[in-house]
Amino acid sequence: MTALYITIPLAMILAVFALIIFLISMKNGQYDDIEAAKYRILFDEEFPKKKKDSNG
Amino acid sequence: MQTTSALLCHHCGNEVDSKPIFKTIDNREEAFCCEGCLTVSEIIHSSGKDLYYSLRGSNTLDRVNFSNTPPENLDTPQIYEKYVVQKNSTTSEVYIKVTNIHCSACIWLNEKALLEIDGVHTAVINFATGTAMVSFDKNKTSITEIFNCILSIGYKPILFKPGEKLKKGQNNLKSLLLKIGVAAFCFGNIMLFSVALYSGYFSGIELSYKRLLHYVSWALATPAYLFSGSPFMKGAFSSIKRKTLTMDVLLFLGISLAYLYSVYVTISDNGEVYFDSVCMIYFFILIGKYFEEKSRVNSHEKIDELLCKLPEMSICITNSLENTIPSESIVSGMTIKALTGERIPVDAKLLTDKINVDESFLTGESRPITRKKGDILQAGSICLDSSCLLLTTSSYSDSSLSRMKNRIEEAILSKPKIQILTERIASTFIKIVFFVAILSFIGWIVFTHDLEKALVYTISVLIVACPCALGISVPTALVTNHIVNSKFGAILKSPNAIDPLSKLDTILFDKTGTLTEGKFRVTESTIKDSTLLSYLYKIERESRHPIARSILRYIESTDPNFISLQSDTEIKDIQVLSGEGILATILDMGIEKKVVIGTAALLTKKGFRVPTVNKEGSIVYVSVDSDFKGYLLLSDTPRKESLELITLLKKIIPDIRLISGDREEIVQSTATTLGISTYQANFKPEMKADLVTTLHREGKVVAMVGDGINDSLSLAGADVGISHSDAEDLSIDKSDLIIISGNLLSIHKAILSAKITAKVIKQNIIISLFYNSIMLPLAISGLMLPVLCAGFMTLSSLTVLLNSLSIRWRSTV
Repeated sequence: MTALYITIPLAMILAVFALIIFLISMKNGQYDDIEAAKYRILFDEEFPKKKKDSNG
Repeated sequence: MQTTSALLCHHCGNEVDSKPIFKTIDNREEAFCCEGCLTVSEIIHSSGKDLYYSLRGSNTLDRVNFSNTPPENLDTPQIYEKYVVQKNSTTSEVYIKVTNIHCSACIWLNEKALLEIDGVHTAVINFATGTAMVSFDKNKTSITEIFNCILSIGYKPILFKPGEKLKKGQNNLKSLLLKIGVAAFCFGNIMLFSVALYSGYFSGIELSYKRLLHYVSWALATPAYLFSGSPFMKGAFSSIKRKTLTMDVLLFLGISLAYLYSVYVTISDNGEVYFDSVCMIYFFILIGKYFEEKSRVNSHEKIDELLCKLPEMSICITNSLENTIPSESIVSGMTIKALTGERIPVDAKLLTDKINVDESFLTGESRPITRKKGDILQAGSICLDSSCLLLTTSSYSDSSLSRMKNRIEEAILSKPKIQILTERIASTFIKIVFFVAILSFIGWIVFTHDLEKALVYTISVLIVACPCALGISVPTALVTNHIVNSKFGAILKSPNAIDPLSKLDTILFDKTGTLTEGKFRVTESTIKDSTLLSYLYKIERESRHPIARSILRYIESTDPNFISLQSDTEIKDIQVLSGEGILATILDMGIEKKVVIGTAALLTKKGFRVPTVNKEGSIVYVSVDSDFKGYLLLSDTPRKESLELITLLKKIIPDIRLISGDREEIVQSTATTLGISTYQANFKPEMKADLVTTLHREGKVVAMVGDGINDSLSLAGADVGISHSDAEDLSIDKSDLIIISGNLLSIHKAILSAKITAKVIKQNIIISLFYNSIMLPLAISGLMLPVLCAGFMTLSSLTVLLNSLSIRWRSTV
């Protein structure tokens, strides 16, 4: 069971990694419009690739 | 080939009820209901955006209705300064509210159309609010071009500037979501270790592993405690400063104790930890707080939108010269000119002889109102038939509309809501707990002379007494109620409204637009002759008056094949008399006929003897040459479900009243049809609000059902304000309950589910207090077994949660 001393911290590191991804996506505004995602998935094929503005 | 009546417009999806326009698109013949829809469809097709129609599915849109006034010039420095954020030399950003967005297809179309303008970098429309964030190059394109693009595909854009309160609210929402995310992360992960600890308790666990799990739990609980819990921490401290005891204090105190005690346990290797409770409770409570904040943000957004509907620039006349000035700089005493179809920016006195205005923005009354020279027009009214000259009587920031906005903002903040039950319990409960804790501390010191033991027991008393279940008892019940309501299309905006909604004993109904359709329909006609009807059709087509449109609809509905009959007639001359009617000369197979359509007064003036019709509603009389032909009666009809609603409500609410600004006879007849015994007519908005206050003072719990800005004061003043989603935007903000399904019966269902929810909240409180009262004596006597404590803590929260979830099936019975 001593493996726990390694696996638990490892699992924690993985979990923190997921949390960081959440924080980044939050900062990028992915949660600003929660409604949109389910519709935009239908648009993609026809939509020109968004030119993401460096300042936007 | 389908029959005419079942033909659907290719663009808007509505039934084509007048003569369809056929057009061949991609070798298929498609029908359109009007020129507007055809134009828009052609634009969409020619630019290769046909995908729009497959995205739209079977949704119907409003018929395209092009306004014939060109958009005002928006490319002025003032407008750019106010609305446009300059990011760098090639990028500017502007918010545009697209008002008539219905569905995802609308958004797709708008975004795609905007992106095709040369110079537009990105255009992203928010699905929830319909606000487009357009980033563009100021040197390549302009706001006017962007507006024209949106107008050309049949949508109505408004420049939008978020106010301070809205911005603050949106930031709050964002930070709450972040806190929920962190709490969820901590809660989800900590439970993995807690389960190990629980099972370790029963089967035995080595101290070293237990210690490891404790430390990991500590690491996970800390961000939840410090970061996710920060709003409660702030709330607790500020309420202590104000020397009041709120739920925040109780919650923060309980959680802090659980957290700090667990830290002590972790360090001293002695006992069980409660880190998981810390995360769980914050997670559940934050969800409730998020929904609360969200509804507040929506209110502010609607209020900001209100002022954005006024024209940006106005024409000011000085020394008979027309100058265009920003509306904001208008002060009292200026002469301004308002154009057809435009809103009046400030309160003003009419200088032109006579004009029809649409005041539905302020009063909810859809009928145009005739104003004469010297009358005061209120800011936000629309001039309907011609432009007019006005003498301003207020400045932009002091108009009745701006003042109403301020008053409504105040009303949101100071609304005297009946406090939630738990708040009251919290403050007494917390005092008792403190008292008991101090007593047991003194007791243990006196009997054992062991300070450490006394401290540990005292803390355990406080933890056990900490009503964590009480903390989640209200939010969980509210969220479940929210889910139940949304099933039948009602939104309870303010959770505070549950309590009054469940105790309702008086309900006031507005008439026009609430219990009735709010639209005028032809309900009776003495004109049956199809030739005459075809004259009427031709003439009324020339008018934009709502009554004319209702008549058109009526004629179309009487005979689907009727359109083919009006072949040989032609209008030679037409004269629209505002507020009176229409004089027209018609050529029927070469023979001239003089037709008069209008009020009794107009026909009498023209020398006809008009029979008096003693019926409620607007009556339109018709004569051809020297013969009086008959009349059409237009009246407002009750909604289909109104009668059923009143019948159902009668069983649960003792006092139902109808109050309206209309004439006595009209109100009386509606009241009788619907079976309402108490009614009041000729009620002005202020009188409605006063009535609410009076009833309130008598100790009644009052609900107001209404629409229109005229009702917003009384909606805000009532214990529960109820409005439906096709009401004016502003009244929705003032309401606690919004019926979005358009079905009034939802009011009845929402009241029933509020009753159940209120009951569940009370049960939850009793359950959690029951658990606490078993645990308290055990803790005081020092018998608190850790397993019992952990078990009861979880069990109490679980019972409360299950009880809250039971609202779902209990309310469907």
